[in-house]
Amino acid sequence: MFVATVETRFEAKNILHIKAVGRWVVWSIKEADRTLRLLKTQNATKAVLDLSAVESMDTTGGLVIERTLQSLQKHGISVQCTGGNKDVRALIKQVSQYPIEDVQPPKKLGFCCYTLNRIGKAAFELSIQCKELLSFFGEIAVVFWGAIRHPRKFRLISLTHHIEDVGMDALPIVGLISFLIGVVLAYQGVHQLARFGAEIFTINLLGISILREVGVLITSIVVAGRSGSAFTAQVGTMVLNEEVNAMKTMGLDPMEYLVVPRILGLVIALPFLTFFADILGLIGGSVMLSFLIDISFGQIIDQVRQAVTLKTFFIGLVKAPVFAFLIAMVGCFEGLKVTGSAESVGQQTTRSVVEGIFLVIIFDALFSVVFSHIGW
Amino acid sequence: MDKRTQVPIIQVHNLVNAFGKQIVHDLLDLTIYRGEVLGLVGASGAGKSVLLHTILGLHRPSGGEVRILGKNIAGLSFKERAQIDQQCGVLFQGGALFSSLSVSDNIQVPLRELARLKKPLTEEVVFQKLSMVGLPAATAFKYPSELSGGMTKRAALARALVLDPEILFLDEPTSGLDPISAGAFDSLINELKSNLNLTVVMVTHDLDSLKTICNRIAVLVDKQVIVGTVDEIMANKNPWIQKYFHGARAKAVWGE
Repeated sequence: MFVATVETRFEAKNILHIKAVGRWVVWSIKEADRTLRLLKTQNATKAVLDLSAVESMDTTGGLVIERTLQSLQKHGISVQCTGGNKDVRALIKQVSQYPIEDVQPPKKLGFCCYTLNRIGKAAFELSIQCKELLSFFGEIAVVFWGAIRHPRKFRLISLTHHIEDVGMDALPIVGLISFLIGVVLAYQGVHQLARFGAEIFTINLLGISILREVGVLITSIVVAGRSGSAFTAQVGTMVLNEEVNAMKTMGLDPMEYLVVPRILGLVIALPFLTFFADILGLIGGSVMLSFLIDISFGQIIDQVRQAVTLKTFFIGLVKAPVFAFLIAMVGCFEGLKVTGSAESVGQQTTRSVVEGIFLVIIFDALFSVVFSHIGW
Repeated sequence: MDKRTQVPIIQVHNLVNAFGKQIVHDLLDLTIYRGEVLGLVGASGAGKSVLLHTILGLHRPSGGEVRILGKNIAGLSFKERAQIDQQCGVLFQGGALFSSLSVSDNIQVPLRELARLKKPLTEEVVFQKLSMVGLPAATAFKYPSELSGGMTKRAALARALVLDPEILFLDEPTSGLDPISAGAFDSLINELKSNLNLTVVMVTHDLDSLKTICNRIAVLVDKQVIVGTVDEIMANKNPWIQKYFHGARAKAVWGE
C-alpha cells in the first residue's frame, strides 16, 4: 500500500541530510515517525530537509515534519527545507499554524491513595443516599397523609393502570417461576427425607417454606427486576425530557402524580401476586411429589392441612405490602435522581434493582427476628 | 467557479426512499462536486436526514444508487466499503462523542483502530486537531459530559477530521449554539475547508451559514432537490423556496 520512508546521510561532517520519500499520510506514517524520533544528530550543526520525493502529504504527515523541524532547532541545529511541490509546502505552512502544545494529563493517584479515596467516597455517598432516601420516605408519608384527607388526590385511573402493569402483566412470569421453584424444592426435599423414610414430610417442608418465605421472596425479587426497574426508567426518562419540570411549573406535584400511584399500585398488587405465587408453588411441588412417591392428591391436601395453619399463610402475606413499598419507593427515588444524559437512566435503573432486592432481603431478615421474638 | 469544482465526488441517481406508503424521495438526482460546500435545506420531515443517512450508507434506499468517489456504495465488499468510509468524516447533530471516553481518547479511536498508530504520535495528533478546531489543549482530558454544546461540536469535528477525510458531512452543525458560537463555527468550517481541500455537505437551517459558507444550496421540495447557487435559488419560483428565502427572517439576513 502506501509507504512513507526517511533516508538520512551526512553530507559534510556536520551537515545532516534528511530525505522524505513516499506518501506522508496518516495511513503510512508509522515507520517514518519512528525513524525520525530515533534520529541521531551527532555533531551536526546544519540540517537539510529534502521534500522533493514526497508524493502526497496530509495533516498528520505535516505534523511529523513540523515536529522534526522544531526538535532539530531545539538542539541548536539550523534547518533548511528544500524541494516539495506546491501542495506539500502549503500544507506544511498551514500545519505550522496549529501548534502542538505539550500538556500533561491531570495527575493520577497512586494505588493506596486511589483505594482510600474510593472507600471514602463510597462511604460518604452511602450516608448521603441513606439520608436522601429517609427524607424521600418522609415526603411520601406527607403526600399520603394529604391524599388520605382528600381522597380525590388518589389518581384512580393512573392507579388501576399501574396495578394492571405491575400485577396482571406479571402473573405469567411469577407463576412460572414459583411453579418451578416448587418442583425443585419437592425434588430436593424427597431426596433428603427419603433417607429417614420420611418422604411424606416433604409436604410440610414445601407448605411452610413456600408460604412463609419463598413465595413472597421470589415474587418480590421478580417484581424488583421487572417493575422496580421500569419505575426508574419511566420516571427517569420523564426527568430527562423535563416532563417533571413541566409538571412542577404547572403547580402539579410529581410526588402526587408519579410516585404515589406507583407505590400504591404495587402495594395493592404484590399481596395478590404473592398469593398467586404461593398457590402455584404448592401445585408445582405437589405435581413433582406425585411423580416421585406413591401418593394421591387427596393425601397431599390432607397433609398440607395438618402442616400449615392460616397463620403460616398470613406470615408470608403480611410481608408483601412492605416489600412492595420498598421496591416502589426505591424505584421512584432513583428515577427522580436521574440527571443529564441517557447514560444516567441506565445507571439509576441498575442501582434501583440492586437496592430494591437488597432492602427486601434486609427486611425479610428483620421480619424473621421479630417473628421469632413474638414466637410465631 | 474554478475547474476543480467540476469533478463529481458524490452522485445520487434516481434515488427512491419510501416508508410504507409514504414516499420521501422520488427519483431524486443530486451531484456534489469536489471542493464545494453544499447546503442541504428543506422543511421538517422533507427527508434531509434520510438523504444524508442514505448517502452515508446508514439507510438502504428503496431504489436508485449512490456513488461516492465513483463507486456505487451498494455493491461494495466490506473492505472497499471501509475505504470509502475512511474518506468521509461525519459530524452528527449531537456530536456523538463516545460518552465513556475522554475527548483525547475519542479522537484517538480512529488513529488507533484504523490507522494502527501508537502513542506518542496519536497524542500529538490529538493536540494538533484540537488546536485546529480551536479548543484549548486541556480539553483533551475532559469527558463529553463536561463539555458545553459548542465545545462538543468542536471536539466531534476534531474526531471527524482526524483521518484527513476528503468529504465532511455536517448535520445541523450550528443548531443549539448561540449566535456568536455559531458564527465562529461557520468561519472555522470555512477556514478548514480551504486549508484541507475538503468537500463539505451540510444539513442546516441556519440562514447565516447558508449565506456565509455555502457555494451551492440543495433544496428538498416535492420529493426532489432543486440545486443552485445562492442567487439561482433566490430567483426560483417554487412557493416553498420563495417563503424560505424571502420570509421575514431571511430578509433580516440576506437583505432584500
